[in-house]
Amino acid sequence: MNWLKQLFSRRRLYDDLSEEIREHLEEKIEELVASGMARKDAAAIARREFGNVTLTEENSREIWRWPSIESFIADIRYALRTLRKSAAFTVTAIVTLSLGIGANTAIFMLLDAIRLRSLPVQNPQELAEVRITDAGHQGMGINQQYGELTRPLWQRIRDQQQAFSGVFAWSVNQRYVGRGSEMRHFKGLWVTGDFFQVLGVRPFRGRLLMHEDEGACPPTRAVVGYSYWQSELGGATFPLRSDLLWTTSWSRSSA
Amino acid sequence: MKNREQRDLFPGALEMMILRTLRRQPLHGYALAQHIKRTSNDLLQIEEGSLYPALQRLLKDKLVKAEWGISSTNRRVRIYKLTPAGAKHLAHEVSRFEKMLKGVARVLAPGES
Repeated sequence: MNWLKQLFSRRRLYDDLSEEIREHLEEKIEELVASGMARKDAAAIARREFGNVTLTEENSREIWRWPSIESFIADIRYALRTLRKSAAFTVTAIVTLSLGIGANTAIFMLLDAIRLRSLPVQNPQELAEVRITDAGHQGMGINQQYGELTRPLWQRIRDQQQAFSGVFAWSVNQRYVGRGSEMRHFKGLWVTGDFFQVLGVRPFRGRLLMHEDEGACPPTRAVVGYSYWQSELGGATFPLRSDLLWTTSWSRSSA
Repeated sequence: MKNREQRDLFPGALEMMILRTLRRQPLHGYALAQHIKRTSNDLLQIEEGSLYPALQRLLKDKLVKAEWGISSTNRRVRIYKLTPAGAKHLAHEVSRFEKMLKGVARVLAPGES
């Protein structure tokens, strides 16, 4: 804590110094005035013989200072003071910098999303999406909830395609899990049985859905993501509790 | 930099004169400056201001100590006093200076080489 004490005592030291120099000049002026000089001339002479007051104070303070840190801080203070004085320049500089940094960040985020960060699957660069190229008409159904393909279409593609080593289908599944006030929204996917095999994903625990699991209705098996497992299921050990309740929109309306 | 050149005849000269003056009696900054000027017959054209950095150096090295007091002209002044370490330092510096002066004088003396 010695340096802290020093820091505080230093302020007093600096104040002492300023006062001392002021007294010195006054004493000199008084003396010259007493010898019959006009006060104004006396002040000028006193200052001339003393030399540069600011520089003297600066040189005197420097002796007590850790040279690098304190003069660095002084430099920053000076920079801030100067910036405050020329507000137009400061605003221009800040706006230019922030626009530049902002634009760079935006471009990087875009690149990061589309080029640098790939999906956490085995060969993300080999993935392709099959969709019907029907300009101006999104999806096959009346509204977008029905997705891109119908089930028969999907089955034909699955059975007859030769371009891919494997295919799978999915649809977005935003439902609720739990009962009453416990009911929670979750983001999920309905997937076909080959989903995980085609993507080449390996499970952290237990097993993933497989071809044989396909077709059960209502669905009896599910795969949860690691973060969901941790936050919603408390990282429970296997086998998971069996009363995990799926509340789909149709079962709610029929209940 | 100009200020620094004017401050010292050689490094430590001003400090030595300050210590020597304070050995006679404790003084405050202004009186110290006047005394040095007067006793050197105004030969030393030091800026009075240059005294203060020198005094701060001496304070830091604990060769002098300072206390606020009232001067004979009834002013609030900071009076500097020689410490025992300062007296010792002065004796050492003076003997060193005298040796150096002798050397210089011998070189400058006419007719010997």
